[in-house]
Amino acid sequence: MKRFLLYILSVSLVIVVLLFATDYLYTSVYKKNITNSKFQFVRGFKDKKINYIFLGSSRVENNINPKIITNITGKTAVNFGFQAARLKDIMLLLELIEFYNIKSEKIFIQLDYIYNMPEGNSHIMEYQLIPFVNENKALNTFFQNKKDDFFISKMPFLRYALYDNKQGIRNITSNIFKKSNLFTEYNGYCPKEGSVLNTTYALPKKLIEKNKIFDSMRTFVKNKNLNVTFFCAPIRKDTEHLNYISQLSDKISNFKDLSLVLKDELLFFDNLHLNNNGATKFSKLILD
Amino acid sequence: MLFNSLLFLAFLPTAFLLYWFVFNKKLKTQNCFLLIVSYIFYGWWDYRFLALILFSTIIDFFVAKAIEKTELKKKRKHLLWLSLTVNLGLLGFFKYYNFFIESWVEAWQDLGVEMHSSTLNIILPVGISFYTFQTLSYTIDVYRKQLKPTNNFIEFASFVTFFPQLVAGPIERASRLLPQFQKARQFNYESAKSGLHLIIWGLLKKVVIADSCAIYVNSIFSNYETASSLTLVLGSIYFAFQIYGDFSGYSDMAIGIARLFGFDLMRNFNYPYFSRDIAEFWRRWHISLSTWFRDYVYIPLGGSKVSKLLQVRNVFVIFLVSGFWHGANWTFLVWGFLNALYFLPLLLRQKNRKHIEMVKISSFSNAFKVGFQMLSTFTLTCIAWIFFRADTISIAVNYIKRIFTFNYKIEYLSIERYSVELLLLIFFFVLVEWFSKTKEEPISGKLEYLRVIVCILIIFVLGSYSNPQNFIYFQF
Repeated sequence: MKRFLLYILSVSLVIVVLLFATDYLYTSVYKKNITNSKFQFVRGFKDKKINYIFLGSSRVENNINPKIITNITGKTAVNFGFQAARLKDIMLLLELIEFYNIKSEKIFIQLDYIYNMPEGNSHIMEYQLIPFVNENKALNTFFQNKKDDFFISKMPFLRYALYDNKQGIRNITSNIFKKSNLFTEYNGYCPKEGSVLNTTYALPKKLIEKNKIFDSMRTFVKNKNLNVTFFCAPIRKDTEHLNYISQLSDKISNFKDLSLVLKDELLFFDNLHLNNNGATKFSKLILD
Repeated sequence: MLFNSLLFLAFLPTAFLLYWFVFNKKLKTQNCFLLIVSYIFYGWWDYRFLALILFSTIIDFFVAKAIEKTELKKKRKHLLWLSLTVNLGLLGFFKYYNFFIESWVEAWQDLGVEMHSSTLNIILPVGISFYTFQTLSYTIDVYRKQLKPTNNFIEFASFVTFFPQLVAGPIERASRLLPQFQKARQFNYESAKSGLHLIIWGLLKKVVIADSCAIYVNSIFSNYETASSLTLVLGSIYFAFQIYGDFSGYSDMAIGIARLFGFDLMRNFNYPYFSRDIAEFWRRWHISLSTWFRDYVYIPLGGSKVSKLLQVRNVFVIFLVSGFWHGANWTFLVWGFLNALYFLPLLLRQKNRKHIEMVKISSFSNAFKVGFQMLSTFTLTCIAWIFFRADTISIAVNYIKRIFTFNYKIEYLSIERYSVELLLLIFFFVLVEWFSKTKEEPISGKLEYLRVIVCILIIFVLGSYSNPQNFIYFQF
C-alpha cells in the first residue's frame, strides 16, 4: 500500500509541476500576443498615450471607426468597445486603463439600456480576461465573485482547462500562428455590412432608480480626475420606448444624446447597430 | 455522481482510504462498507431510486433461496418466472411504458382512429438495464443449478449495487463476481497500479476523445439538413468514436476502480474497431452484454445447433432484443436489425467464427487485405450508428441520403470550428490503440511512469471541459 501511495504521490507532484509549467507557457503566449483578442489589443496600449478612448458595448465596437476620427482631427483615437459589455465591464476597463497606464485626453462612454443592467457582464470579454486573471488587483477582484474563481485564479492551468473551448489548445495555436484580426486593422472597430430592416427592439420603459455600479464609476472618474463624456449612439427610429434615452439624458449631467442623429434606415444594420456606412457617417459626426 | 466529476475525485480517494485503512479488518466490514458507499454513490442521483434497487435485491435474494430449497421442477419454474416478471416488469414500466403507449396511439392514428395518450412523467432510474440483467443472471444461474445461492444478504446486496459497475456495466455474472465478495480482499500493488492506469486511460477516452467528438456530433446532427456529404460522413465517424470513447472509457474506469478495491471485473471492450467482420466486432464490443444475450437468450433458443432457418431467427431475435435493450425508440430496433443483416451472410457461410484472434499484419499484401476488411466493417458500423444517434428513423434515412449528394466541401460548423479539425486527434488515438492492441490499455509496460504523466497531461490540455457530457449509456 505504501508503495502505491508513493506512486500516486510522485505522479501527482510531477503533474502539479507540469501544470505550473504549462500554465506559464500558455499565459506567456497570451501575454506576448496583442492581436488575437480584443482584450490583448487593449493591453497592447500599455504605457501609451491616446487622445480619445471609446468605451462601451457592441454599440461602440460596431459604430465608431477611430481611423476616421484621426483623419479628421489629427488626434489618436481607439475603440475599446466589447461585444455585450455591461457597466461592470466598462468599470473594469476604466480601472485597467489606469493600471496599464494608458494616458488619454478624453474618454467617451456609451450608455443606453445597459444602464438598467447593473448586474452581469460580457461573457465574451470574460473569456478573454482568463489568461490575465492574476495580472492585477482589478482583474482579480472581477473574478472573485465567480463560481469557479478558486480554480481560475489559484489552481495552475485549471482556468485553461475549464474554458478549453475559448482559451484552450485551439486558441493557443491560433495565438501562435494567426497574425491579425479585424479590430487590429481598424483600431478596435469591427464593421458590420448590410441592413436587416425587419427587426424590432424595445428599450426599457423606465430608468432604474438606483445604480451602485454607475455611482462607483462616477466616483472613480472623479477621484482619478479623468475627463469622461457619456453619450448614446444612434438608435433606429422604429425602436420602441425611445423616451428612455431622454430619461437617461435627464439623469446624467454630462450626457450627449446622439440617439437620433442618423435618420436613414439604410445606415443601420439593425435597431441598435450601424453598418459600415452608418459608422463612417457617425464617426464623422461624433466629435461635433 | 459521475466518474469524471470533481465530486467523484473527492469520493473515490476517501472511499479507497477508508476501505483499506479502517474497514479492512474483516470480510463483513469490507462488504458493509462497500454496500454503504455504493448506496451513497447511487443515491446521489436520486435517493428514490434506492427503494427500487433494494426491492429488486430483496426479491432476487429470497427467490434464489426458495429455488434452491425445492426440487419440484414446476415450483422452481414458477419462482424463476416470479423473478423474471418482477425484474423485467420494473424495467418495462420505467423504460418502455411511454414508448408502448405512444406507439399504440400512433398506430391507431395511422389507421384514422383518434386516440388520446396518457403517458406518465416517468424518470428512468439510472443503470436499471444494467443491474436488472445482473440480478437476472443470478436467479437464472441458480435455477439452472450452475450457482449456489448465497445466504448472506449483505454479500448479495453488495454484488448487486457494487458502485464501479452499477450504472453502466460491465454486466457481471453472479458466478464471477459474487465469489469475490465471499473472500476478504488483500491489497495488491500490481493490480491497484493497473487499475489506476485503466482509470487514467478510460478518463482520457471519455474527456479527450468522446467529449471532443460530442461537440462536433451534436452540431452536425442538429444541422444535417444543410451539411455537406463530407461533414455528414465525418459526423458519423465522430459519433463512432464518441460512443466508443464514452462507453469503453466508462468500462475501463469501472474495471480500474474495482481493481483499486481488490475486485476483478470482466473486460467489456477489446479494440472493436480493429475487427475484420461484424461477428468479430460483436465479440469485441460491449462483451458483457453480448455474452449475456448469448448465454441467456441465444443458446436457450437453440443457438447454432438448430436448422439454418431457426439460426437466422435466433440471430434476428438476439440483435433486435439487444437493440431494444438500448432504449425505447424504433431507431435502436433498426440499429439492431441492421447488425443482424450484417451478421447474416457470415452465419449462412459459417464464417462467423473466422476471426477469433486479434488482427496481425504479416506482410504488405496481408496489410492491404486486413485494412480493407477493417475499413469495410467500420463503414458498416458507422451506417448503423447513424440510426443509433438519430432521433427518428426518417432523420437517419435523410442523413444517409444526403451523404450521397457527393458534396465534399469542408464546412465551418455552428460551433465555430471546421468539420475536419478533429481528424488529427482521431488519427493519433487510432494509432495509439493499434500499437497497444495486444494489451488491456496503452499505459502499462515499458516507460509506464512517463506514459502515465503524458496521459494525465493530455487529459488536462486536450480534454473537453467547457461542454461536459453525460455518459451516453447512463440513459440506457
